[in-house]
Amino acid sequence: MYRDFADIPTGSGYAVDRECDTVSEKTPLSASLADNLILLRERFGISADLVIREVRVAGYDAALISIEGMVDRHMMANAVILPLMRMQEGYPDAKTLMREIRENVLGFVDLLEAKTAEELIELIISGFAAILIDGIGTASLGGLQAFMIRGVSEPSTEVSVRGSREGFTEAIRVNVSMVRRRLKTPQLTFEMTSVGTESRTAVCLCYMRDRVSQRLLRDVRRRLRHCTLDMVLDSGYIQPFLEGKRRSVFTGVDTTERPDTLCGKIAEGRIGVLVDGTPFALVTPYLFSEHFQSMDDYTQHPLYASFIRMIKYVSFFVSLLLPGLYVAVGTHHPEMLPSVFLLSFINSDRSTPFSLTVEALLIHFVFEIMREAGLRFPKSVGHAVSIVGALVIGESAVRAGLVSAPMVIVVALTSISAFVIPSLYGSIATLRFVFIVLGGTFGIYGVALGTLLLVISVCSLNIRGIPITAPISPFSLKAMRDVFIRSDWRVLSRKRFLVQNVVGSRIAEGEEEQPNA
Amino acid sequence: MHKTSRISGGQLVALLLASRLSNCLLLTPNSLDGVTLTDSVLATLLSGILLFLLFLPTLLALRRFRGRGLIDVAYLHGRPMGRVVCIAYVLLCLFILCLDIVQFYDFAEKSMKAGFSVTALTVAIVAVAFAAAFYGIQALGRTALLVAAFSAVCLIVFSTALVPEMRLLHFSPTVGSGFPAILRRAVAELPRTAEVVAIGMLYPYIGGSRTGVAAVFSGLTVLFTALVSVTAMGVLGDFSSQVAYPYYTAVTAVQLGVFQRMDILIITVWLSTFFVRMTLFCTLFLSVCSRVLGRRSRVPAAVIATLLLAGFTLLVSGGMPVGGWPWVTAVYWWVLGAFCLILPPVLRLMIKNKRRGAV
Repeated sequence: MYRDFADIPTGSGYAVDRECDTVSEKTPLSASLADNLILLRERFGISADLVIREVRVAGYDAALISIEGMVDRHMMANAVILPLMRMQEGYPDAKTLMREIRENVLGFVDLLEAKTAEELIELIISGFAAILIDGIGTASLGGLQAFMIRGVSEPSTEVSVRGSREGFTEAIRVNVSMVRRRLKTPQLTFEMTSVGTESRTAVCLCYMRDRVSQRLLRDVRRRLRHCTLDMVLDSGYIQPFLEGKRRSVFTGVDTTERPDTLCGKIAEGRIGVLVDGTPFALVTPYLFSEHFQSMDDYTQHPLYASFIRMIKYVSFFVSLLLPGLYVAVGTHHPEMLPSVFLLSFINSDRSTPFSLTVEALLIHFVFEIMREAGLRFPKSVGHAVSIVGALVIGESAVRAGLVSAPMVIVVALTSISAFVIPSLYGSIATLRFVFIVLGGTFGIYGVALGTLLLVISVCSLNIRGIPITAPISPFSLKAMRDVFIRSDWRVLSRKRFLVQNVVGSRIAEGEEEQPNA
Repeated sequence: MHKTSRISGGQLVALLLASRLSNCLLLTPNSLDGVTLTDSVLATLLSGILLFLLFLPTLLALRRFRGRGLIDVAYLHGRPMGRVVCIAYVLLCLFILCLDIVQFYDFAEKSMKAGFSVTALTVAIVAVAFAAAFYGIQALGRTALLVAAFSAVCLIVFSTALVPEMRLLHFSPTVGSGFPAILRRAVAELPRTAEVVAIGMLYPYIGGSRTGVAAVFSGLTVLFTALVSVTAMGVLGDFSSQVAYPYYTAVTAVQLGVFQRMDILIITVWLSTFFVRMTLFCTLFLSVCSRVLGRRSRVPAAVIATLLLAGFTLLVSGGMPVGGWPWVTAVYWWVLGAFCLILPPVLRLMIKNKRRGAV
């Protein structure tokens, strides 16, 4: 079921969102075809992709308007132009002719009507073909979208061992169909709108009507309406608008590349936001503990899944704190270490010219440069960068005495651990530098202080009245069945989990929303 | 603080407990007060009951004015009265923060043996606590829950690890010190629980059940204080009166896994609880300031208070012998007495008289 913000009934999902339209004054289409064509040419300027094919239909002047590359040329020729040209004369007026065309000639699944220039333009640029006839001030539009899209492929950031190999693509309609295929319930609703005053990017809200909180839904709609961007080229553009005021490096809105993951989130009362041109769907509200959950957890044995989950939590702390703690202990508290390890540590540290803090900052900085380079380069060159990096940093730098061997081990361990939770990589990589500086300045006390400030900042996050640290703090023992451990499906299925009912949620209690949320 | 930022009763208990643990971990020979180990446990039990009684006047007064804190109640009498109470609370928060800084500085100087400036660390903690205070009471409540759980687990682990080090000889007969000594010790324990004044201000922010918060907090305080006393005195015996911080000294003897010494870990635990305590009183300070001067005054108030406390830290680090002042505990006692035993009933009476006059 598709719904539009303005409740325009449509089968296409490409209805015009009137509330998001920034053109306040709408220009009605003229009854004169020539005037309408002049208007369109004025609006599009000298744009080469606007195709206007003027034809005579049953003795009336008409024009077929489309955007090159957005419509199927064969369908246009065979299903639109030819039947129109074959129509016999004898219609009393253009209005009757247009009704006949709509009812008996055009066989489109998506058949819409536009009365204003703005509606007409928005639908044309969405891949519709428009028919304008001289003597009538309305246009008929048929959905003939056929642009080149990337095929469905395996998600690159959320690889699953046993789960589906399907990942979202850039085409919003393909993504919608992937979600629909997995949730065959009429409760699943897709609301289409467009965001971006210039880009008019199609955005689709997905949710289950019987599970989503109406307050949550209203809030997401309001935030999307207030999105003031002129260009929206990726889901990341609208993410800050959904987050609200940011008070922490972590966030209550996250992304997924997997349709099955999105379905799981929607089934728990969350809202998915698909953005045209992006293979990542936004999910809100997103609890902090969800970063440690993956699709594989639910396909494997609960014992093993729980073990993997514990590994993820440990990896998180290792990737975040290990370099800072290493610098802190090495610089200020070496007495903590066993004597054998201490001797080997002192020996390796003596051979390097830099202090431990500078060494850690330097090597992490170099690592991030290499990671970024490996990511942006073509794949073949990326491998070369990895090899050069490993040889130069791992081998030569140690031999040259620029960095100590334990530091290389710490960096390697930290970096590998960070990749266990890819959704938190950005936050972890940034915070790691802060903890290194704190550890070097105030030792373990600095690291502890930084951790506490980080914890309090995360704890302050409420996404639409839902604390993202729930159910850890505020604590709920019942909800722990899927946090640090993953219980058996028989246990999980006993009571349906809905995100708005999570402990500490003000949505469930019906209280007023906090201003900072 | 917005009144929409609510904390649960459990979070309030955790908040008060985490704050109290920062004092509890710094068990000093003065706080042992010359009583034997078993008598010390009895004194702790007695102090728990006294602590609960100390809560009662505030709770009874607030029950009368449902949903309001003591400052709100003062404002019911009139703006001048409200402002006087607010100023009193601002001074109280600053007083507690100053004493915390003294305690921190003293402990850091004696125990941390750090290669960095303790003064700089103290100032950093004050600044971070004020920054954290801006996240609000809700965030602090949630953080306190984690800190309290972490600290409780660590305390239990430390004490369990120290069981083999304890000597039966250190467990002397009950009431060996005499009842007056036990009572003196129990009363001396009370000023260490400054959290009792916080409840008057935190009351409006508690969502859900409020009953039992004082009882559970008092009970848990007794439990952990007893655990710390038993561990420290059980391990060190009479030697505990010779060292500055007996529990800390006892824990340094533990060896866990690859770690040779546990002193860093116990300091980290203590620092976490200390951070919660500082942030709690910074939050209350900012809350009262915004009540008197408006919400926009919070940033300047935080900056001024940070500078004042940083200046005080410099005085302490410069050799100001605050820690040795014997009257500090007495002042603490009088202040607590004024805010817990006198202010709530007086406010209640004044409002009652005002209403009668109005009728």
